[in-house]
Amino acid sequence: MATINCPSCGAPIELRSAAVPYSVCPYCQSVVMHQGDQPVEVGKAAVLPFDVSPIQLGTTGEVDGVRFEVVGRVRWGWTDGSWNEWLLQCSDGVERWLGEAMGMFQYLTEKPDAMMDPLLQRFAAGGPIAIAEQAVIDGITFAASDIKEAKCLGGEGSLPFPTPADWTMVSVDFKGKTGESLSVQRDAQGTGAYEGRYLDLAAMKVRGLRQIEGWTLPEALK
Amino acid sequence: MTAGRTVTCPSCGGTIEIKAAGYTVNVGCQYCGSVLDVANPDVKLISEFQMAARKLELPLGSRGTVQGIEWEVIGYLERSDDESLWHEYLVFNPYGGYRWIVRSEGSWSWGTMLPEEPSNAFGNAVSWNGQRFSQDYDDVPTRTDYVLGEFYWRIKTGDTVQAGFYEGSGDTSLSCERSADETSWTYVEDLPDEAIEQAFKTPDGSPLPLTGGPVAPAPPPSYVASGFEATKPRPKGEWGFIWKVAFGTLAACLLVMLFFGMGHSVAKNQIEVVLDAPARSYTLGTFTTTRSYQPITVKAQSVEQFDNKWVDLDYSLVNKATQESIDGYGVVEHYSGYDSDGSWSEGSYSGKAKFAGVPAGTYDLVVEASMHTWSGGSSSSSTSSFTNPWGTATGERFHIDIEASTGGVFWGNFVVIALLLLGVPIFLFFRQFKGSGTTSSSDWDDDD
Amino acid sequence: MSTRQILFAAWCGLVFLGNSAISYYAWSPFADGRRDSGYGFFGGPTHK
Repeated sequence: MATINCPSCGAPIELRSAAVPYSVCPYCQSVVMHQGDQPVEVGKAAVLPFDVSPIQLGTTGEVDGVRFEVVGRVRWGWTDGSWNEWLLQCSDGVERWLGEAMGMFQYLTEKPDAMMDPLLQRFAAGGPIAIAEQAVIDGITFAASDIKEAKCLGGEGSLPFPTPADWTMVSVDFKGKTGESLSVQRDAQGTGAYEGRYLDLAAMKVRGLRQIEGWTLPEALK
Repeated sequence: MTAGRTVTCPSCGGTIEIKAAGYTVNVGCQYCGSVLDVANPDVKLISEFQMAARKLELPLGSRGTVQGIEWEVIGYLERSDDESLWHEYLVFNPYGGYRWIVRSEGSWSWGTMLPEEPSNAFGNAVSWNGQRFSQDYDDVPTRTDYVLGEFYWRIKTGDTVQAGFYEGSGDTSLSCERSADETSWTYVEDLPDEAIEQAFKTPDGSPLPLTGGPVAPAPPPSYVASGFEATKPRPKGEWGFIWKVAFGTLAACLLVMLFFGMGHSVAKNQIEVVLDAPARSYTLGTFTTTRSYQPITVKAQSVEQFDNKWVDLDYSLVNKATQESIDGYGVVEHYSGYDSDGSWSEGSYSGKAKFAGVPAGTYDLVVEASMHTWSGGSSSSSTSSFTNPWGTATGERFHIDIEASTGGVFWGNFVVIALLLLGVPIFLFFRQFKGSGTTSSSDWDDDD
Repeated sequence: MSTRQILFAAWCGLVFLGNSAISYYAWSPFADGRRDSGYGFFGGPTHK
């Protein structure tokens, strides 16, 4: 893994993924862009609050034969809670995220062609979405089930975008009739769609979980 | 955002350790029962003080192994619907997420949240994980009556949801709860008693206290900062905000009543009454009041003592300018006698009459007085004279001192005010104890 | 402060204002008005 020095404080930053241009300095929370000749500080991320997530940078796993490693994290907060989105570097090169909320995990794969749906295009252009409005992707009808305005509470590791402290986005969850889920997020830079499914840690064969004080790792996850 | 690993309760100052940091959004303070919003760094009070602390079958902080994983009890809810009352425990393992342990009608069950809705979630039967579950009863409104510990969503006392139960095969079922904002599904399995009762131990390793019911609050757990233990907070109990406001207002009302009830003597005189003679009118004096509306108290005091007689005093305050009269009645009386219980006596040699709202003005105080012998009682009656229709009084004579004063407090008003103010906290205090057992059915109507 | 507390404090305020008003006007439903002429007159107040 490559290491650079933080342009702001000089501390070493591990670049966990060659594929993404931003990393957060673990010492001073500077967001550093390192795809050019010189690493450049582009902003500051908020300090992440303490949580007991079992996932950490470097955790690995496998789903459907595709291996992944956790290389970055963004934490989002809204009025009634907050959640983590862990960036997964995947062996097939596809951008995936692991959404973590209320102790449950959602394996999210980017689905760019979903953005061709007219409702989602309207949303991407800045229009609103209301609960129960429908989008059709690959012949499946999805209805909007949840809309949240969220604020970035911090980031760590390597990420495909900068995570400044004032970054906000609108996140819409869609549900299909037979349990499929779609997640669409719009921020100042653009809109992305992800299809998701819920998996537990054992099903994802995760390894390298965080040791949490007072708890022992279950056998199945060692 | 979370408030970090420990938070301070803004209501009682207690230190609460957040076990599921990062997930927990609402916490019911284990010392004072207030429900707190811990989703942001500044902890906010959602509802202050509920009721006295509970003794839980599974105390917060207890750990036990179920289905091969160790779980810690971090939250407790008391819930009810029209027919029954039950307890729900939220248990947590950072690697396993959350589960629910339900204690209802003497048995235990194990709940797992479903991340997605089962298919055909709108019919009477749904399928999930290859099993079929069907609903036999309509959805019932279900209320959360008590909140303690940490929760990952905004739950507070009084929240009501529509709950439906879908029976599956064996001892499994699905529970669906719908609120205005969301719907959640839980897979529920019945458990044998040992699965919980022998699996869980309290934080200090001792076995569980398995009977529920309200008891004195548990001592703060050992990880509480020592500075806090020195000033142990009292559960807000009976002397909380509502009681202080009620008594404070009552005291303020009393002061107002005493202030407006101040006054001085304005007329004083003595009248002579003849026993069993026709009534006679006397003008006792004239006085002027300037306050827009004045209470007037007229006190009558008998000079002599007597027995088994009473004096009717019909007062009139006659406004000299308008000749309108405000009337009142007072009585001075005393009786005694013997009966099967022994001797008795009743009455008072003095009597007060209070006039309300007397407008400013100059008044003559007129009294029409008559004294009568009481014909009841078993004592030998005093020699009373007959009533002479020609008005020549020949009976005994008595004297009554009458004094009129401005001012006076209507204690009847005070009693009503006290009921209006104290009635609410008294009613709420007694309502707490309804349905606080483990399995009794109870009636819950409006919210807490 | 919860909704219930605010509501109760408002109720107490209302009761206090009401009490102040009736004290100012010296009003009471418990004043000793004129006695009812039909009752207790011929036979005296009823006792044991």
